[in-house]
Order: sequence, then C-alpha cells, then structure tokens
Amino acid sequence: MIKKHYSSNSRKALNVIWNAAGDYDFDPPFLAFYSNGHPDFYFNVIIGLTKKWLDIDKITAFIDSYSYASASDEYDEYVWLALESCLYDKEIGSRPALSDLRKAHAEEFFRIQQSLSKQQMELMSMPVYTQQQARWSAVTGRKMPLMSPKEHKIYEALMFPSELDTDVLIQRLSEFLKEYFRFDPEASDKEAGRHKTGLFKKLWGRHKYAQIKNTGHLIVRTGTGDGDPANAVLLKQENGFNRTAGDDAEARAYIESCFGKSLYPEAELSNIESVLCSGDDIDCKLWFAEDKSSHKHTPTSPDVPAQNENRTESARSVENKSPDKTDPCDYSSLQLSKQALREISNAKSSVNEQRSKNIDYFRKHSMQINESIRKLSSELETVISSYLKHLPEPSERGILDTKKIYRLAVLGDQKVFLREGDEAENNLSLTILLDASQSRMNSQELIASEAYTLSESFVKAGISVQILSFRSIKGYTVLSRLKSFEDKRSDGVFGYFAAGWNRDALALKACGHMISDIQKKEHDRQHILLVLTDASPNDSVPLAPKPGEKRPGNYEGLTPVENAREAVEELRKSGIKTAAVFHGSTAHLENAYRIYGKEYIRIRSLAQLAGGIIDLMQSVLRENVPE
Amino acid sequence: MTDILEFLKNEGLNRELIDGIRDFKAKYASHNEYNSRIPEPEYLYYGKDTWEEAVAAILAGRNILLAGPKATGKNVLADNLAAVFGRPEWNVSFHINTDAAYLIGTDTYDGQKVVFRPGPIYLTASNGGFAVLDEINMAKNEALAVLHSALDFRHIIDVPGYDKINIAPDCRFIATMNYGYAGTRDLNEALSSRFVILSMKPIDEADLIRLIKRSYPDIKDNFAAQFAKLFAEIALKAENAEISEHALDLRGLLDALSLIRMGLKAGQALELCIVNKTFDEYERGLIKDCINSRIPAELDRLAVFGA
Repeated sequence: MIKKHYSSNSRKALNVIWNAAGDYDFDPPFLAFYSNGHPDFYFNVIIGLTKKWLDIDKITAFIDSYSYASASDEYDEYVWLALESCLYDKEIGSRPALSDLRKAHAEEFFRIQQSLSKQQMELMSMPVYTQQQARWSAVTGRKMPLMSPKEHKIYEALMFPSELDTDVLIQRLSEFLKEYFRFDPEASDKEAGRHKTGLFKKLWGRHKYAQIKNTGHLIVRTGTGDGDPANAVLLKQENGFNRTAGDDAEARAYIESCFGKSLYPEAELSNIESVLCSGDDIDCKLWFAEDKSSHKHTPTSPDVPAQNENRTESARSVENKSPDKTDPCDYSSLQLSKQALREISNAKSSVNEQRSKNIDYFRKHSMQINESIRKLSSELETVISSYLKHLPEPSERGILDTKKIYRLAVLGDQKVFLREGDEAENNLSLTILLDASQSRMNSQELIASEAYTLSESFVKAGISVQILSFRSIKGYTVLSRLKSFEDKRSDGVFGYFAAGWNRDALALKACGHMISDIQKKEHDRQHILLVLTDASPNDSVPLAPKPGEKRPGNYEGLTPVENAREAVEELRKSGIKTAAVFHGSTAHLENAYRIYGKEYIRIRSLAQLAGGIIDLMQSVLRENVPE
Repeated sequence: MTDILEFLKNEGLNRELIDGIRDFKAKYASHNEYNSRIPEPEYLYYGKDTWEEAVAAILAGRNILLAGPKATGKNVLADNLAAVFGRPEWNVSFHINTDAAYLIGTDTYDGQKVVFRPGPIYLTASNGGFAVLDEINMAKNEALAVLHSALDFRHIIDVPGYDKINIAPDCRFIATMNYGYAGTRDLNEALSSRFVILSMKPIDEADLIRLIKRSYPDIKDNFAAQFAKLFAEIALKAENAEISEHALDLRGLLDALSLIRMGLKAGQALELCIVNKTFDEYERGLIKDCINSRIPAELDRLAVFGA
C-alpha cells in the first residue's frame, strides 16, 4: 500500500481504524478527532468496525447522498450514533474490552461538555446534544436527560440492533431521516438538480468534507491526500541557443556572483572543461563552488547552528585554490548589468527565504527525522561492518603466527595467534549529489531534510560524507558543495534550493572528477555516490547536432538519459559505486532504471527513506565486496 | 519433563514418523559426557505440518533450515527436535564476525604445547549432536564455506593442519534464518542447496491459544483468546510496516501473563513485556492503542486467572 504523508495524529487514528477493521489495505473515508485535534480512540474503532462488519463503501455513499442538505452535519451525528449502537453489539462478544472503551468515551463526552463555554453550548445543535447525552448517560449509568416524547422516540430509534446487515441498516437510516426530519436523501438530491454522478460527485464530496467540523465530537472526511510527489515543473525550452563572447563573459560573471568563486584556478578549470565538456556537452561550461549562503545567517534553532560554528579550520579555509580570497559576496568588481545585479539580489533573498523554509520543515518533522537517523545509522553500522575487512589482532587462540612463535618459548607470551579483531578498516566515503533544478521546486524542503537525514546517518555510522548540489544555468553546470567531508554537521544542506536546469550527464562527470581528486590522495578509499534525482534531464543548452543535421536537438528525451547512463557506467568503472534515490513522477521511473540499473530505490516520503537506503546499500556494497 | 513423543501423538503426527523417532533414539544412544546438553524445552512447538516436515527430513538424514520472520518459533522447534531425538545440542549464534575458526576450532597453548581446541561444529559432528546454527545468514560467506563439506554428501570436516573427521551419522545441523533484518543477507546458493528448507509460518490463533493454555493452565478461556488476538493484531500491524517487529515478541506476551499472574495489572505487564520492546515513542503509542483496544489496562490476576 502506498503510504500517504499524514500527520502523526492522523496516522494514529488510521492505525486504530485499521486495527479494528483487521485490514490495512484500505483508505478509511472517515477519521474521528476531538476538537483539540486528538484522535477519538473509540469512534475510530467504530469506523474500523464499519469496515469489518458492514460494507463501508455503501455507508459512505449513503452519507454522501445527504451531504448537500443544510442539516447534513446533524444527520451525520445521528447516523454515527446508530452505527455505534449496531457495531458495538456486533463486536462486544469478540472484544470485551470494547465495553471499557465505550465507557471511557462516554466519560470524556461529559468531561468535554463541562468545559464548554456558554457561547460554545449555544453553537451546538441541542437536539443532537440531547441524543448524545442520552446515549452516554445510559452507558455510564447516569440519570437520563429530560426528553420530549419525540426525542425519546428518536433515542429508541437510534438503538440499532446487531443483526442488521448493510442494506437493511441503510434502509432503516433512510426511514429514520424521513420519519423524524422529513428528509428523503434521494428525493432532495434529485430535486436540487444536484444528482451528481461519478468523478464530479466524488470531487464535490471531497471538497465539501475536507473541512474540520466544529463540534465537540468530530467525524472528519479525509481529503484527497495528494501524495504525488511528482508535481514536476515542466521547464520550457528556449528557442535556439546562440552564445557570443560577450554572453560568455557576462554568464561567467553572473555565475560567479551567484555561486561564489570557483574552487579551481582558471587554468585547471579550463583543463577540466576540455576533458569533460565533450560530445553532447561540447557547448557547456562547468563551475565548482562552495555554498556559502548559510555563513551569514544567525542560527534559527539550537538544532541547526550556523554552518560556521561546525566547520573545522580546514573546512573554513575551503579547498578554494583561487588566489583571490576577498569577500565572496562582493561582486562590485565583476562587470554585470544593473538588471543582472538586481536579479542576483532578488535571487539571494529567495535563497535565504528557502533556507528558512527548509529549516522550518526540518523542525516540524524533527522527531521523525531524528528517529530515522537513529534507526538508519544503527542499521548502516551493521550492514557496513559486514563488508569491511577486520584487522587481525594478536590473541591466545586462532591461527598460529609463526613469526611470533619464538615469544612463546622465550617470553612466555601466549598471544602468538592471530584472530579477526573488532577493529575494521573503514575506508568508505559517501557523496550525496542533489538535483537542484527547478523541477524540484515543489520538493525543496523534503529534499533538504532527506539529504540531512542521510548525511547524519552515514556520519554516525562512521562514514565521511560530502553533499553537493547541481544545476545548469546560462550554459554552466554548477556543482555547489553544501557540506564537505571535514564539516562535522550536515546543516549546510539547508542552503539547498531549486533553480535552473539539470544536465545530469555532465553533472555526474563533474562529480566524478571531484571524487577522483580524493581518490588520487587516498588510494584505498572506497567511494559511494548517491544521487537524489527525479531522473528527468533537461537543459537549455541543446545537444550537439548529429552529423548531417543543421539544427541541434533540444536537451530532453532519450539522448540525455542515455548520456547519463554512460556517465554512471564510467563512474562505476572508475570504482565509484553509484546509486540513486528516485523521488519523482512515475513517467520518469523508466529513466531511473535506464540510468542506474537496479541500483536505485523509489521513495515517496521521508518515512520510506530509512528502509529503502538499507536495501540499497546492501545491494551496492554486495556488488563490490572488498577483496 | 514433558513427554514430547506423547505430545506429538496427541497432535496427530504421522504414526510412522513417531516410530521413526523411537527407532532413531534406540539406535543412537547419546554419550553420557554430553547428556546434560540434551534440552528440556520449556515451550513446545505447535504446528503439526511443520513437525512432520522437520522430522521426516531428519530421519532421511538431511539437515534443515528453518526460515521465517520473527515469532514463528524457529528456535523453539530446533530445541524440541533435539529433545525429541534425545541428542545433545550445541547452539551457535551467528553474527557478522563469526569466522571459520570460531566454528571449527582454533589453536591454543595448553601450557606445554600448541593444541587444537575444537569448536561447536567439530564437537557436534564428532559426538552425534544437533547443532542449532542460529541466524546463519548473518555471517560472511567465507565463514560459512567451512560447513559445505559437513553438510553435503561428503559428511566430513577437514581441519587444516589436523585430521579429517567423519560426521557422526546421528549428527544433524538445524539452521535458523530470519530475512529482512539489517545486516542479514541472502544465504548463498551453495549453502542453501545443502539444506531442506522449511518456511516457518507465524503461529495461528488457535495454536497460540493452546500454547498459552499449556503454559498457563489456569488462564480463563476468553482471556487466552483475547491475548492471542492481541498478538495477531500486533503481527498484522508489523506486517503492514506500521511498526517494526520489535514488539512482536511471543516470549514477551507469555512473560506478560507471568507478571499478571504475579499481581501486576495487565496494562503494566504488557507495557513492560511488549510495549517497551521498542524504543520508538511513536511506535509505542501505536502498540499501546492496539493493546487498549483489546485488553483493559486495569485487568488483574483475578479476572484473568480466577481465584
């Protein structure tokens, strides 16, 4: 079952319903809450029992049938009292605890009524209140309220017995509404000309019931629950792409002012471009930068300190090989038009705003995130340690170390045997590469929190982590480092924002280059690259024209996917274990498979991240067991 | 001590298999030295079909792999099998650091010379015991490779630097495996092909009621049923990934009944033995809701067990 992203209270309510129903494979059309937002335990059990004992779809359809009536809220309360009576009797034989739950609910009813203000009492429907009071008084053994003869008849009529099946029960409910309220659901529906059918009726119903009802006892219809994370923003291709030398200079200045100085000196950057910007990427440029957007921010939460506080000296110094270390935000020396400067200023404000949103999202889900980190890091430790080589250590038993046997005779040292020690040779590193193109704009907060969760989990498991983001703007594919290996904490990732295009193949090649810099220094280090992507490469810089073609093709469709696949293949050949976390439209799922093969997982929510990553890591590490 | 053969007869096990067990016991008397290793199980395994499959495999000279999720009674069955066949039992818990030396044996110094100290597999093989290889899929392949020659037609263990030993004809290897735990891996094909694999199903409600009533003969029938239903509901919740399997603990359920019988209220006992098995606060909430919908918190010994 696909899990939608519910609040924790909703998920609690759902679990009670599913448990009572004995079925987790349905989406309950109702959830019960008190007006303070807490789930109503007993009535969620009743909703679950509706599924267990009756046809919940027919019950829902009946409730929908009078939803247009002005008194529909009141009718709902009567209907649920009737259902409660019937379902309680059906279930009590097999669930004796239901009696205590019913009493507890009844006591809660009276406790809430005592706390209501006079105004709140006036807002209530007194006929409904009387019936509820009567029902719960009988349950708790309290004195029954004073009722008129009609009210008494309604009270008796709502005591639906257990032997009713769905059709008879609905028939009785219909008769009840007709007799006591002169309301015929089918007749009034048609008369009003609002006998909607099919999809429109469902949508209308959802619209109407996606509100919280303000009564002491809430039955709330669930909304549409749009859990589709795709929300892919289609990037419109520019018509044609022509670049002049002047454009080049301005684009370069623009990129530098947006993202900061290049990590590589000019000459080295040129060399890198000459190697990597080939084939379909021949018209492209590269930029490698350190994300400094968080440096000027004061901490907004004790959990998320400013990046500066957590950087080691080496991280602060940055692997910036540029000789010019002036304030990275001082772009007055760069020749940019006023419009460009204005654009950049606005963009920086938006980036700051996005950072705040990322942090707010993190705070809102911090319990879930911290729990995921705790669980994931513990499981990662187990998985990873099973693939690491354990260093041998001297012992009093094991395999005889003949080189040391003399110590036995001469020194009486019995530790002349070797056995696998506890210490493992941890030579794993992880790079998390985030697609930061505009197609991700509806998932920015989620992606930042996902990356944070992953990074912290791996760090806690003893793996060093860096986080990079990539996007393409003005012909430049820019890799920004949000967290370096030396950074102790991962909150730099909250500087993540989505903008621009995504030229996946070139980004992967550029990332591979950054990793190879490390591999040159640390030969034994094994590297894992984890790409968070929607597997939908798209760029304004077109593909190189094919032989015989006059016009270049747009960078979209199958060719960029194939280019990305080749880039991943090259990475894997160079020893970088590459895998992906796919979070996007089902339409692009095939792309994810083409590019990454089996080494990817699909997730739709943060809750699925931990479990998916463990499976993925086992698969990735198993493919390349250390010798 | 429970007469397991009698129990199996009452369970309706195939008569020929029961006779086969008797013949096996008569043929292979256990060494007095290791009699203390013959288990006396506290719990019996309920599941006639699984019993028949396991016994048939053992009588046919095969080793068995019990594969299944948590709380399916793998270790209980392994224990019961060693007991009913009257064999000394060696328990080996596999983990990621398990190596060949730990299983077969290592060299050590006895004060005068380097000697070989046999490991549990060596001892089981040479003394006709039953080795319970618990969570066999936690170990690395290179550690498990030493078992190949013991498990297949060769029936030998070749100890490097020492002699080869022939596996005793009454020796059996009973492996258990849980899949899906972090750190577990699929069992490699070379090893899995050397076992008869029994897929262990979760205990059904009827058998669980019988298990509860056997463990607590004084429990009232309706409460035995309610506790069994509670376990089934927690299992279903874990199966649907709403909670982890930590709280799905059959021993925990039985322990809770023990505590209720000692005087704790049901809510407290279940919190100690079931709810607290998970450290996730949110999960605890879901499990408590599950419990509250089935077992009143204030339920006491008198209500559950009578006077």
